[in-house]
Amino acid sequence: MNKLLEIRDLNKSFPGVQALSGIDFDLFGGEIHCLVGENGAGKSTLVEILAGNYRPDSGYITLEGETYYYLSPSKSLSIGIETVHQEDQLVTSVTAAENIFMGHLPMNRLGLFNLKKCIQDSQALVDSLGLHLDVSELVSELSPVERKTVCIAKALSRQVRILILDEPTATLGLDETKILLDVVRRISEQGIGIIYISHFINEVFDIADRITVFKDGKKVETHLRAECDKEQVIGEMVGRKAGHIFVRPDHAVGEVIFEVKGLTGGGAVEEVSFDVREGEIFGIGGLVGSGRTELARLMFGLDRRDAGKILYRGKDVTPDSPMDAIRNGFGYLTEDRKETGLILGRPVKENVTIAEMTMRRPVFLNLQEERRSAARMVKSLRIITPSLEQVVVNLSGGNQQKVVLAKWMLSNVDVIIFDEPTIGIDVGAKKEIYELMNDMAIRGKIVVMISSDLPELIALSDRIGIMWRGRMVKIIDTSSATEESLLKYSTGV
Amino acid sequence: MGENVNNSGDELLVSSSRKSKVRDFVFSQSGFLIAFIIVLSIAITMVNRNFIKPQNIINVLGQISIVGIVAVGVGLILISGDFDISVGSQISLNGAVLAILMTRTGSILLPVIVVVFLGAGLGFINGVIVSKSKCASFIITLGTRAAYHGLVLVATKGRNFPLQGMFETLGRGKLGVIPIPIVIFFIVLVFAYLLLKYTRFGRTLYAVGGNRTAAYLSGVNVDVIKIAVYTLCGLLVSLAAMTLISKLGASYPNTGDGYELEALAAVVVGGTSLWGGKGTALGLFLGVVIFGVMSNSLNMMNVSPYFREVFIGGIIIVATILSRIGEMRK
Repeated sequence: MNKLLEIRDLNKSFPGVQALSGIDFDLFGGEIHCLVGENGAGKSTLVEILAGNYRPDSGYITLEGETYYYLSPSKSLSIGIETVHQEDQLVTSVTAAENIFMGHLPMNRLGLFNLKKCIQDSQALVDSLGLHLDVSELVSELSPVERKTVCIAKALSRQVRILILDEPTATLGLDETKILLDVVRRISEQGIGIIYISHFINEVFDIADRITVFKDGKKVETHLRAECDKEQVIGEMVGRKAGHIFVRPDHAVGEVIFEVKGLTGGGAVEEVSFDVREGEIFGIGGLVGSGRTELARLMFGLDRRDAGKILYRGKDVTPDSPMDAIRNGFGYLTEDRKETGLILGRPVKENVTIAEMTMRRPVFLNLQEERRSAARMVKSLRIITPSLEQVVVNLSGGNQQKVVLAKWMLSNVDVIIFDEPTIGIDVGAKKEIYELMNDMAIRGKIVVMISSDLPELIALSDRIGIMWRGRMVKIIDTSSATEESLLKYSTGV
Repeated sequence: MGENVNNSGDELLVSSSRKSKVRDFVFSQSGFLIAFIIVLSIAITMVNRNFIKPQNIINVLGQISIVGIVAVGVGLILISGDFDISVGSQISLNGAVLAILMTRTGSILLPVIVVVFLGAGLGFINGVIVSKSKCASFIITLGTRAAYHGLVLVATKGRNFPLQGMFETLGRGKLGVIPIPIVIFFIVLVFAYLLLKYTRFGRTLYAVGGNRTAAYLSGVNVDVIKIAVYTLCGLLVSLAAMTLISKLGASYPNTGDGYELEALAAVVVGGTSLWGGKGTALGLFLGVVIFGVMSNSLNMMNVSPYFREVFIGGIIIVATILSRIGEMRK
């Protein structure tokens, strides 16, 4: 096989992070080279460099004998590198054919758009991928796997030598995944080199010629598929971690006081059941897109529930709306505090008191009492702010998260759901948030935590439920859980 | 970013001292507007001494009071993050129904009661459509603007309805030396001030305008709030319509034309964010006053009244751009 791409000693840093260090990477024509690693391992950074969106600090890229120190987006395209991103960027209101040739639509002699030729050419292209798809259909009518194939066909409509697929199956079901993998194999048979990024280890072992593992911006190892096994690759992805920054002190665990039974709905959650005992923190793991956040939304009454119920101390507290949920004692820290947790342009004081206010429903506000409550929360959570009147947009990430937490603590919730509680927060604030979560659990609150951060999940939870394709496939006791075992269940091994 | 301030809760309670409050106010948008009004007034007075006379000041306030009442309604909606540009048509429709009923029945009380309910109803319809459809309120109320105006033509067949001396007190009467419309305007302003500062409803308007999703996730019933604020605006508009018809002594099919733009312009000039979540009763007042002073000064400097609309358009554009720049600097 001929070597298409050679990357040597590539480095890239962002303020405060070394995203890639000393990366070597090769790709042969006709090869499917899988790239695996946890979130933040550096896979995306490499993709962006190849797509010409980032400029590396040092190192070089050789493509068929030509050496480049960096690529621009147009250079990247012109030398035949095409990227299919996780989220498709199709125009849904026009046909698949037009999407495939978007940017270089076939013209007739008068310089007008030639729809007939466009459909013919793109149909031929799609047929060659072995997919039954009528390209004259509107993209909005297509199924997820068909849309993904249109994205790939779009990439192939240009002179492509290297095709990068970033999590192509993240939104697909099992059968659809199979179809897509066949498409990918067929493309590689045409001599195109494929860089395939995926979280799904089974799929990777299904399709890869070689597998490269990234970890914290470094390459751990490149394996021939035949010469390694899943356990080994997962072990390398997880690696050895520095000591946990938090250890939950010993605590008593009491009776089951919170039960989720057969919760189904939101189009993404199927028959999820688990229970939480007094004093416990219940963790929820799984990949992005596995239905974790959808489960939280369902528990908070945000999405339509098809079946199931939630019991707290034997009482049915299943909410039908967020208003319901708050009345029934639920609180929800969303994964994106800026978009859905905070009213950024309003003062700390108002953000802290809003849930308590909407629950108590007074007609008139008692401004003094409100200031006192807010000041009490700011003090007990050690929120660093110059005043209660400061608008929250000016606070740091950790302090913003504490404001959201203060909101729920003030409204005296019984059940609190954390979705990625420490995302984008510095280490010191992380530790404080962990302590607050621990306090809440010890004081008898039901704490449910969703996290992608495996060490965090293990350090805080008593038990961890793993979500996979909308179901809670496994509930593990943390005492017997390792990052490897969590990752195994999360990726459906 | 968060300054490293050592804060105990008690310090936070007293942290905004009087001095820093004064400083905050001077540098706030309202402080800026007051300074602007003072400078403008001095400049105009130097050209024409009559400007500063009490009678002229009462004139200015009289001219702005009706649009001011409307601006409070529009401002409350804008704080919650939405628009109502149907208020001009609402005025015409309320006014037409009022005048028709008065001339037909000879009664005053009944038409007033009907118009209060009509005003609330028109706002309610806007609120229901905007909240339930989740479509852009600007476009929805552009639609109801046309529809309400059409209803005026249906009801009046394009005719004017003079009141022939009935119902003059509200628009033309005086309380001492102060015309009643000014009194009503100030009552409405005080109402808005108290509503925004001391009630859950007012607080919730800011929350919904600032971040609709976060407010919803914090237990705010967003749809109910939207419907309520549109209905409240409708009520204020019916009050403005009655005052206006009383002042004019007749209803015309186009009585309310242009009020939506003038009110919106005054609201935006007064520092209410076009993106919601920000604005004060004082700002609403100052925005309206700036309009009154500028339009009065155009008169005093003998500028043709035909330029008025050009001028209003210009002000809307400039205020919007300044507001956008303000948002972007954050």
